[in-house]
Amino acid sequence: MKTLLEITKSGMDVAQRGLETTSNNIANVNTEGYSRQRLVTNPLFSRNGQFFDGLGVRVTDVEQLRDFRINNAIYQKNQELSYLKIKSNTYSQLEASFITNSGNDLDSRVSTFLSTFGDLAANPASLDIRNKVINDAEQMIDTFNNLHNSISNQRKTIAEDVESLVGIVNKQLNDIASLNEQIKQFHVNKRSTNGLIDKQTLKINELSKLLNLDVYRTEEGQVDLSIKGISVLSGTKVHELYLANDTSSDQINVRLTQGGQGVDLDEGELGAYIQLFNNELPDLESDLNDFSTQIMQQVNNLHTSGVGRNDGVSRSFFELEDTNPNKLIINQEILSDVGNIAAEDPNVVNASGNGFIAQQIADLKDIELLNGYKPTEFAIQFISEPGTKLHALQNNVELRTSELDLLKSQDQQVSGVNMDEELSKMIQYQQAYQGAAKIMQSAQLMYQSLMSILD
Amino acid sequence: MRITQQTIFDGFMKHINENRAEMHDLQQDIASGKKISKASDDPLKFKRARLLQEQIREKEGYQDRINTARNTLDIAEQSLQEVINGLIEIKSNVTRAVNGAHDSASFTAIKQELESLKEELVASFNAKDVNGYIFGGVENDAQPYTIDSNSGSVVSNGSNNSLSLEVDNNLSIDVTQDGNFVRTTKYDDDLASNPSSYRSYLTPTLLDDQGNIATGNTAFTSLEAVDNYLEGFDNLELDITLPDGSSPNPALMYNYSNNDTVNDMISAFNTQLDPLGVNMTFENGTVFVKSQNMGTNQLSVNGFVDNGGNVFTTNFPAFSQQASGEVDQGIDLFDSIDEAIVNLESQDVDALSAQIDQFDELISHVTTHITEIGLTNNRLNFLEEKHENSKILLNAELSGWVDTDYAETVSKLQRTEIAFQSAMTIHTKMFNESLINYL
Repeated sequence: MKTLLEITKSGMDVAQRGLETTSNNIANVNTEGYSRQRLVTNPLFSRNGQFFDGLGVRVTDVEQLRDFRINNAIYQKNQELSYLKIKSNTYSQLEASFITNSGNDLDSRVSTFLSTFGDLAANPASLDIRNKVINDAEQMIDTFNNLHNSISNQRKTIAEDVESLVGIVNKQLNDIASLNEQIKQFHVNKRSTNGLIDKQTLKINELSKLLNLDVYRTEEGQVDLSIKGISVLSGTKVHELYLANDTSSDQINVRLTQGGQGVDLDEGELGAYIQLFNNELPDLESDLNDFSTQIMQQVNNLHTSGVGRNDGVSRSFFELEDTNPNKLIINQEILSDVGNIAAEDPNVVNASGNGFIAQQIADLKDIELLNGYKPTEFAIQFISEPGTKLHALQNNVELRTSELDLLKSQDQQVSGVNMDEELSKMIQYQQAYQGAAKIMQSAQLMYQSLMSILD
Repeated sequence: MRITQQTIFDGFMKHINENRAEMHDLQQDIASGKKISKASDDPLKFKRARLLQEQIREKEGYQDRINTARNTLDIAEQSLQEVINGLIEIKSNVTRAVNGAHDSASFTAIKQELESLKEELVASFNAKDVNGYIFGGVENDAQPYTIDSNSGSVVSNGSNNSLSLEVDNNLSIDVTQDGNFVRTTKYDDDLASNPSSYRSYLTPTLLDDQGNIATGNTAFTSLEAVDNYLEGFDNLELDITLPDGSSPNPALMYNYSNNDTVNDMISAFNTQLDPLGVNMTFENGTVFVKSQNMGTNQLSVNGFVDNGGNVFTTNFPAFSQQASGEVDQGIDLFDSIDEAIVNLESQDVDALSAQIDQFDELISHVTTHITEIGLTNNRLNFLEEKHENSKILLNAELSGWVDTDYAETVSKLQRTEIAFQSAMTIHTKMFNESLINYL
């Protein structure tokens, strides 16, 4: 008789625990990183001669439904996607400053500048046209400077972002290390680590958006993290990242502690930022420099072979600013007297006042200036560069996003809370409880019947 | 497959976002009228479009220059018309003097008339457009013709280099007028032989001692060995005076070597003459030295100089005729008027009578020139039309690349809207379906 009550009690206990689990699942239906939990029960029994007699039920575990392989795949996609997104954002900002709706971009500035020399060739004496040459040259130089600024501003912002991101990475690593510590202790004390694992998974998920990460999980549920074989977290031991900004080469390097081993970051937000800062933006900048240098040299070569209108003196048209060797300026003597623009070729006899040099400068529009491109073609190529990169990135972002969506949905299939399912579980446990209670009631009646005999 | 509420929600958000993004893009296309406005929209189309824009800019540049050129030519034509009217007036005055003037008062009256007509002609030659004096060549910022206060003769201050406008790819047309060309009739000779640049240079014809055009020894060919004629001379110097009055420095030397032909000699001299804007040719047994520019002094060929520094004029059959060569300038318009004024002053009726033909020639010369301007104008009109046509084609192509096709975009927008609305409806319905409703 006593056994009956014990069995019933164990049934009611389990049903109650089951309801608790279900209610916890429903309560956390929208909690990020939460994995649904299930009761694991085992029947109790004892051997009675040749039979096993049931002794009720026992909760052996509250298990978490989770597939770590899906989690790892999600980390991988996070790295790839956030890498692409940072690049997309950067290039999209660059494109916005390279290409305006008005169309007055580098291509049109260069073309206008050269074509004004054509006008000057047609009328070398005109002061109006000479002033327009200066005006167009200034606008072209402004455009060059704006492009320079937008690239160097991007690099400046990136340097700041990288610094704060490295700080975030180190904090996350320490957080995960202390979670590892707790998980270890809970494990020793045989307490459930479910909540901690949820937290830990969420942290790694965040971290995986920032850099390339390999995750190794121990049996107890602790994680070790490494970047390309270099350990950054082992148990509770954290190897913090150190940002070594090499001012001489103007490059960002990430190391393990100061002067320590270099860490090769090529995925995630940090990977994207570092690649942009160290390689892609400097490449863009040097293309721009090559272009402005070529324009300067070609124009100067011709201009110095010509002479000013009033004094017959040869001058260069462009000069470089002392403080910034990439910045073009117009020769001060030309700015103060537009007559000093050399339209005239002094070597042609009996042709004083000619516009031959101006015409040759205008004809630069048809020469192959850089990599086989004519000046305007190169300018178009250059201003399209961020957009071209962005276009390719956007396709990749789309692809990676849908891959990530698929993985997330697979993760949901395993770990996600389904309300209908939980509600039906609720009914199930409720009925189990009611059933057990009914048996208890019957047992009580049986006791009462027995007692009444004694009365 | 387990589908959780989160899965449904994620799917819903994903599709709604995609729809919204598409609607946003379509609305942008419609509002801006451009489907390609930046490189990331479609890098290839964007670059192509920018290249087309560059080509359109180029055509527009040519069109602008053509319009300026036509304006200049119109003014030039009008001024030359005035010149013709002036010349007709002068001719009729001279004719009146020849036929009807018998007393010095009427000669003086006609002379005064001619003087004022001369000033009017100078004014016509000083015509201006927005860019400056159109008969000044490249030196168009100062009056190209002034009357010398001492001598009373008309001085050309302008340049013989006319302004040349690039009106098509690698095609330049001279537009401003180089007044010397109008002023002297000789330029007409170049018209036929050099139609592409009809007035930028002068071919002086060399005259012999008697004033006849030198024909040289026609038996002498350019393949003849030079040493047949140059025995005793190792080096030869060509002595010329350049149109600007200067002599070439360094001197023009020809280092003769055995078996050289006349062609060898000519090319040796031409290497040195080229930078001076002068060249040597061989035509009908005569060596010509031609200048492409006309200066105040004109080109003159003084002869060859021997080793001893003596101008070498004899014993040299092929070249002897050029030794004292001079330039035939044709008739100078202002000089003719000055001459008429002098003749009126001296009441030299015979000389005046001889001048009537000169004025006829001048009138016909200027008329030819006006015709030339008309031809240039026609050519410019044709080019302008050509540029306009290519611009229309380029614009059409550009529009095809970048402009929004409204019919297509609006129908796409409608389709997206329907998809958007359906997604909203179906998802709200699904969210409401839950076991909760049945408990």
